[in-house]
Amino acid sequence: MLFIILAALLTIVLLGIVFWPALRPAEPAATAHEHDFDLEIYKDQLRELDTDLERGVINAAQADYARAEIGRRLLAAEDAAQAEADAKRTAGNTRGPMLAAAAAFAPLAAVVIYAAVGSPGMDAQPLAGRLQERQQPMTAQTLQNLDVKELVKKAEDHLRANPDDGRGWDVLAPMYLRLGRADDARDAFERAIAMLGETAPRRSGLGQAYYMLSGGAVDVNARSEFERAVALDPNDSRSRFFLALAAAEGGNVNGALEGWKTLIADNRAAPEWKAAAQEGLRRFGGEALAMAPGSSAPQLDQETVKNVQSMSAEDRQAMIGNMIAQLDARLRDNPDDVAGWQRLIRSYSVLGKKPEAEDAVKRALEAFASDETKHGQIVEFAAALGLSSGGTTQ
Amino acid sequence: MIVELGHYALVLALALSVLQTVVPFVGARTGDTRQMAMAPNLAFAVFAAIALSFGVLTWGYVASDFSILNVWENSNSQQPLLFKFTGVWGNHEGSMMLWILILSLFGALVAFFGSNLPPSLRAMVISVQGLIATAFTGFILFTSNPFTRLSPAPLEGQDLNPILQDVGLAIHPPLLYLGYVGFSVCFAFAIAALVEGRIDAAWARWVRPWTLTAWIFLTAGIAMGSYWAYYELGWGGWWFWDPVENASFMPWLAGTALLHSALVMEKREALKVWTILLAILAFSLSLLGTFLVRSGVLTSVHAFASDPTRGVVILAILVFFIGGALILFALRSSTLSNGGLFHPISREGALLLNNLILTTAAATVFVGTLYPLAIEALTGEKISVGAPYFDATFAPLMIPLLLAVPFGPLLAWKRGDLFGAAQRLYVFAGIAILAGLVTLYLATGAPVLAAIGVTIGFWLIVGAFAEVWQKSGLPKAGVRTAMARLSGLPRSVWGTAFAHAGLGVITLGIVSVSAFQEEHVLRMAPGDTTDLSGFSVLFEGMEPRQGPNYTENVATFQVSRDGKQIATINPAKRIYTARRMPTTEAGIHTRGFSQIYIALGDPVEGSNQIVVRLWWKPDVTLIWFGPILMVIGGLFSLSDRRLRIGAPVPSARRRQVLAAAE
Repeated sequence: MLFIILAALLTIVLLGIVFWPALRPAEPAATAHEHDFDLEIYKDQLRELDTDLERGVINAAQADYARAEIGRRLLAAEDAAQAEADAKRTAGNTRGPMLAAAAAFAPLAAVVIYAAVGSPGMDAQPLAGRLQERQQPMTAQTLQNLDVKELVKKAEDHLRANPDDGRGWDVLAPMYLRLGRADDARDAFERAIAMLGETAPRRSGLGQAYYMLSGGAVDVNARSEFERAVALDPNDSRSRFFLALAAAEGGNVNGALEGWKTLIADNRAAPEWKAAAQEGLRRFGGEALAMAPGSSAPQLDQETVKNVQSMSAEDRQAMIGNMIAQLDARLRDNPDDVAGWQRLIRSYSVLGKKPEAEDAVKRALEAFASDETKHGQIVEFAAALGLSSGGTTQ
Repeated sequence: MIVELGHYALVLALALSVLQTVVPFVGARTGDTRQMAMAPNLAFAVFAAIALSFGVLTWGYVASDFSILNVWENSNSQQPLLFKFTGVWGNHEGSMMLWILILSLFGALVAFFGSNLPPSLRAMVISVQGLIATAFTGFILFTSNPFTRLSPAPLEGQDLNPILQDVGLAIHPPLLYLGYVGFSVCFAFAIAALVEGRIDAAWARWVRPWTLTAWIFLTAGIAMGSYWAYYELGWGGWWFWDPVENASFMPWLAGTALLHSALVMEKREALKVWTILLAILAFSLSLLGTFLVRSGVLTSVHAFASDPTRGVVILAILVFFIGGALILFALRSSTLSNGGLFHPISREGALLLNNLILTTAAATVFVGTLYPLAIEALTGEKISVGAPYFDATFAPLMIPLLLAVPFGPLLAWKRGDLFGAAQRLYVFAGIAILAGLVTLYLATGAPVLAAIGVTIGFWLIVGAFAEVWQKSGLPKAGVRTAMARLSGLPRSVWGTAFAHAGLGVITLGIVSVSAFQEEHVLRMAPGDTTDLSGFSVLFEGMEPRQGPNYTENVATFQVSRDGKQIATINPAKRIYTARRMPTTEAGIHTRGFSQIYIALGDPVEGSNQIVVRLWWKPDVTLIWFGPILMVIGGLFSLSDRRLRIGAPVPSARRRQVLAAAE
């Protein structure tokens, strides 16, 4: 509304300026005739000639030539001016209809064209405003979250009645992520994968859930999910971002920067992960190359970090232990899952439980005893982690 | 909302431009004083609307409002503030916005300073300006809208082209556009004169300040662009005969010719038709420049984005204005009366010679620029017309002009006297000497050409002040009389002297650099030393540095002479993070008028060496000091009181005043 008022005001002011001379009564006395303007120039040329002569810039003969010539022009203009004055063109014969049409044309044309090309309802979004929005959870973001919470509640009601609706879990899982409910998100992603099969977005979503659960670090679980997602779709932006983050956390800062840069340069990549990659670049690029002026604190998933940080250390530990136990149990029932075994082995080894890790390697090798390729994969994987493969390869 | 208000203002500007075209035109043709009186206000209103719109776009850049597509594509929140400002015109849409901003500014200036113009002429001029504004504002809105929105706004923008992240961008395009678009005023005056059917000495005087203004800005803009290319591109050259450079040079040549022929028209009412044609040509060549640069026909730093529709639309605008103007010219020029007669040896004759050579030169550049394009369009074959063509055609054309320049101001109007004839002999003498030296060069290979060039340069500088010297009466008149006379000289005389001397200074710089520059390309490892024209240059090493939106590897060179340390030069190779684009930053040390110029090449693989290019460029800065002198000369001329004649007093008192003047 304010926009319409201001636009109208602008139109009125400018039209006012334009039509002001037409609205004033004409003052014929003040208007000189066309040829008077010429006379002014020639008279000035004559005056100039005199001063030039006085100064000795030109000699008398040259001055005479010039004076004669200017005099001829002056006379011609004089005659023309006289003729003009005699003709007495009628001044100020205002053409009312024409002016009215002109006055109507401008705003009409402007409105029609603007309606075709403009986006009248759209607000400006300066950077300062956008940053403020992100830093004030009490305002816009809270409102957005309220909407999401509403949707989540509906979806939950629906799934309570129909727990086998894979699509429902698929829709709900990213919402949990957004609300920072990491454990619900993990559960929902796992159900969706179990019911609908694995896709890159589901795997990487699950990875993000693990990332949030670990308190903002790309742990083994998260990492293996991201790797799985990239295997499914090498262009999955989220996974590419987190794998680079994992590299950075693992000390391979250059690799991480490279990963983010290629992500940013990739046209197909999702904008929000490009933005996250920018943040990552700023954070790690700044550290690696010493003080980037104006570099701000990392802004990665603030709510997640907050959420997980609010857990006690024991809770977190218990939760991780619980997850591993679940994975272990699942692999006992369904051992044909290389990625699962790798995740389990890595989890144990990261937690420093070497005997458990080696036990897992052994069980995996037993499970793949008849499958050369998968057997080899596990052996290589174990070797990379510095684990013994239980004498099978020695 | 503020963004949309700017967008609306631009649309309103288009609607008002249509009124600016129609209302004053109808008023002038029917003698309706009210409609004619609306002309200045229309020009003001259009300027206000476009300025508001441009201001909003600038705000979008400064506030990093990435909900504007154009801002997101060409800016980044990490950019230094200056480049957020200059980024506004560092892209196709924004530069067109700058174009129409300046166009409407000139329209408003004509309206503001136009009170000494006959109302119908002023109305016509403003109307033609309005037509140009309509065409280009429409072009912007419908093919290159800078206010296209993007929602939701991305977090970070894509950054400005790194080559453009330089102070040069703050200065070069605005100056150049002030020049280009300034000629639109001359064009409008020419069209108005043709439509009105009256072209006289007074017309020439009214146009003169606008031609001068445009010429001053264009001169400064081209020189600035040349220096920018010199230090930013890292090739050590100051002029590449690149089509884009030529595009700005052609209007300059035509504009310079116009400046001189308008002088003849003002004083003698001669060369009228020719002057009108030049006014049309100067702006047509400016439009052609805009077309070449904006249509994407040429691929260069300047072709920010290539889009075939845009090219076609600009071509249509070009054809409309140039074609229309020339048709009008063909229809009307025969009705113009002939002006005063003159002898070949006279001021008019000299100025005519100037015009002939300048327009031939412009035609030469025109052919060299467009011929490759035409060949490519017809046969698909890519040929390149480079420096050899221009060296072989443009340079020989310039030599007689440069030799003749000092004579011009000394010759009398209408017919030169014996003195003039004697001067003609000097010209022949000069040609003879020249021919002799050329023969000598061909025979022995001595650097005679350089000697000739330097001679011409000094001849221009000394000759430029010959008129001033002559008029001061020195040494016969005492110093006091001389000083009095000098201070009484019209400022335009000083303007001529400075501008011509500037030409000489440029010639000296060009000759000196072409003949005596030293260039080395070599591999250097840290600790290596090399000799360059008597200087000893030590490569100390490289170190990484972090800029606001780039990272760079800076090399340190110590320059010394006879064991004494003189300067530290730091060329660098940068990588701009957002676009992953490398650039080369040349390191330059200025000594007097000369410069040491160092640019880094690529590192040599498998070693700690790097390719380094070093130049010793003697007197190179003269190339840019010359244009500064020319601009100063132009400003002197512009301040001449002749150009500030007031409006006539109302007709009732006309006769009295006339009587008093006589």
